Amino acid sequence: MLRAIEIVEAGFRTTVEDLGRPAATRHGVPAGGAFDPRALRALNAALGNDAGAAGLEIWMRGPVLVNVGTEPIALALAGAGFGWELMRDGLPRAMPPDAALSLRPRERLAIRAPARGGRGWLGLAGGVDVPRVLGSRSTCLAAGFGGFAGRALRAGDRLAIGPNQGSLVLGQRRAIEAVPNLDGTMVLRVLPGPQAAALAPKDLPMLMGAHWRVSESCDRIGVRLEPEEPGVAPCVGVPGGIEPEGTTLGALQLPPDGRPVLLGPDRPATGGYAKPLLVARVDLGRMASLVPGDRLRFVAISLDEALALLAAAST
Amino acid sequence: MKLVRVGELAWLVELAPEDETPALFAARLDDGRHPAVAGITPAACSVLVEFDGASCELPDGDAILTAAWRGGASAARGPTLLRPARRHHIPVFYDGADLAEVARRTGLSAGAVIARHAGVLYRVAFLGFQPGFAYLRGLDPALVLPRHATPRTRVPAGSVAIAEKWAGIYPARTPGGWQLLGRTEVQLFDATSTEPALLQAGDEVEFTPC
Repeated sequence: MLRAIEIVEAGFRTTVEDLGRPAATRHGVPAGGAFDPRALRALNAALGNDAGAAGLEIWMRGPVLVNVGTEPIALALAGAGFGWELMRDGLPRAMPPDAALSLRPRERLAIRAPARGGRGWLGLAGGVDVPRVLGSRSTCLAAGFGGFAGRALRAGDRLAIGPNQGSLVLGQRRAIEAVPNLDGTMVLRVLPGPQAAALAPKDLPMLMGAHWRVSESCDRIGVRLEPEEPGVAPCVGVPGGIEPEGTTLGALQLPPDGRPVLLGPDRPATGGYAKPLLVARVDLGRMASLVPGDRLRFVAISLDEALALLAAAST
Repeated sequence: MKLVRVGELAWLVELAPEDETPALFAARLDDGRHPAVAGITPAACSVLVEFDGASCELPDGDAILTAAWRGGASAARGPTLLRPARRHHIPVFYDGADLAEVARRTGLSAGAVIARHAGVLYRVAFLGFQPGFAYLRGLDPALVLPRHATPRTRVPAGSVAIAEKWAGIYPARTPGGWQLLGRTEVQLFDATSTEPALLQAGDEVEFTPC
């Protein structure tokens, strides 16, 4: 039996991602992996996959794909506001986004991103079967390896899909994240970062009090923020930087220009700038959904609160 | 040694100069890896340890890392690296875009900058920034200069560069802010190799003008 999909339209930037290669950072390699690891884990659980099976991460505009294999492939979708449309018997059908569906041979599926864009994930029963490089199937765009040929997907790419790994129940509904504050201001809950205490005294109130806007520089490496009110003095950070140290997903880094950057999965393995805040893991999905122009602000929570929220979200 | 919690799932092990080096502690941690440890990132004077986010039971990083630290202090066996340290000879064409400016700012001739850069033996402290990028300790203090205030949008692959107290080589084309002294054709990173980075923590590096 052949299990494969072909990309008909690539979308804006669609990459193969699993849970990344955290053990490869000692080679200077970015950890990579799904921007919201919990979203990919949930898809894999719904499809009976191993937690680390590879799916597709979708950015801004969804791909169109076709089953070019000889047997149905079960799929599941995540990402705030994402939907999908199945071409079955020559007719487009909008399908519920919160239940797995079965894509039969020769059927086409169009992933629809919300009008604002954002980030979504497509899980495939059996997982995308590209070779593991340095322990992972994730795409390392910076160095051009991993994923499919080390790059974002293009029309015409054929992806082998692994055999079903477990049992799944089609039509079973999953909880799906709501579209976050499309017209208002996104709120990200944050914890103190490793250099919270080393900042210039005015920086922390400035970081926490300001409204921020996501700049055009917004990708899997990082999300650069600008103060929303013009004339607001940027932060100072830690002058001269810090000794380079390992970085975590969701850390807020302050470079010398005072414009904070939220670090994404493809961030460099180490960095020499102060990290005064960390996005709580429970809000990584919200952070992943940020697009240029979005407004956001931070709300401080304690580590205990963050742990409780994470535990509640995982059950 | 000091443990700093970094969010829900990570700990930063901060090491003092008299402690075991980050690379050695990282190798030792990896050697007796706790099943909950997902990532170990040694850097200049710290090791970031990230735990797996899957399990419902959150790991007690303080206890795991304290035990690992003590285990090393009392263990008779020496710490193991990924492999024995090597010495690398890197041939360099000293024609970098910043060579003249580095000479001007240090008050040295271009020839003296080259002589001082090539005249010492460096040791790899850790890898970071991009795949295969090694931070080299041992730079002549006369060559210590800050990074460019505005990074170049494109630094060519193989660029031999310095910044602050560090020396390094860019394995691939990338944006970057270091002072460029020259270039080499040595391949520093190959993702398909079992040992993807040519330079490993603990290795020695020597630059040879050509």
